[in-house]
Amino acid sequence: MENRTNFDLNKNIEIWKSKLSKNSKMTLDNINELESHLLDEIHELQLLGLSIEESLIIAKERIGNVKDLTTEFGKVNDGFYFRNRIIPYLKGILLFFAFITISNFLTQLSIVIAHKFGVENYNLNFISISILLLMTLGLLIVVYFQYKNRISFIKKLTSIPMLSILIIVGKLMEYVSSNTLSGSVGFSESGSIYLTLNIYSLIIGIFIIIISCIVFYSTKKENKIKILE
Amino acid sequence: MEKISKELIGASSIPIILSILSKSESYGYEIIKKVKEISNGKLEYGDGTLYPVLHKLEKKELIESYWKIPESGRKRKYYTISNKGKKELVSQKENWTTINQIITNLWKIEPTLT
Repeated sequence: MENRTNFDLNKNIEIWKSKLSKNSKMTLDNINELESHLLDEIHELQLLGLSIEESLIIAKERIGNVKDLTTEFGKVNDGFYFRNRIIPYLKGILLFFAFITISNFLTQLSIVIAHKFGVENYNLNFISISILLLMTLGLLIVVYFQYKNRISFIKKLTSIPMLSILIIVGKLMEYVSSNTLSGSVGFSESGSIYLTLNIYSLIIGIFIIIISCIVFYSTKKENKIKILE
Repeated sequence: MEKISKELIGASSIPIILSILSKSESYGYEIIKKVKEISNGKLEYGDGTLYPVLHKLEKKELIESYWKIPESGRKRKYYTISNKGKKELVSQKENWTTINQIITNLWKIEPTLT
């Protein structure tokens, strides 16, 4: 006979809650309220002599399946649903602005660094692009390891308040560095700033296009349903 | 007797919920149990369908909600009727009494309908 003594009620409830939260139609408060209802139902069923596992199955059945629940709650939470749907787009736009701001600032910073080491105008572009790419690579490595170790750093970094702060601080630093540059860098060098920035944007743009295409086609391939002839 | 139709359950949900909450604060699970008990099982709210109705009433400011841990028990979300809800209940009572009178009168005139 199957051993049911190891049944983890809390873990099973957490799985059920995560399913409810997946399609963004229910608030955390809604889910907690349903959890409270589920526990009341389980308690009553256990009083009737059912095991925890049996009680959970029946209680979930009585509350309703995830699809029906999310449809019902979606009717009341239309505003919440809409806000949740546009958050990824807003994040995307903010990330784009953050990228432009940071790359502007880093370009200027790389020129300042190259200039400080007395690099000649001829080599300035190459040096500044190299510094810029190295800094980007460093950032990507940090992000990759954070992702690998499942640290919530990326989630925090890509939150709307954090991105907003990043853009504001980045803009301020960009302003300060451009003021510093205007006093110390000549016309030809300031022209090279824009050239560097354009080359950098082109390299990053190609990189993002390649990654996007790989992600798009691999997802498309996975979603394809094979039909036997 | 057959169970009450979905349409009638939906239409009567506001006065029923407001009436229950006008007597005392309550939470979803308890409201469902009370309705079942009062109606002798003829009127039953689906477990998951009551909450959207409660949230609609809360949006209309007819009821208020808060999380509370009672002396004996777990943390639950309680609902209570608001002043606006009390006024709405008076209006609902008038409406339902009128409907009840109309139907009673009709069925008195035409007893074959019953």
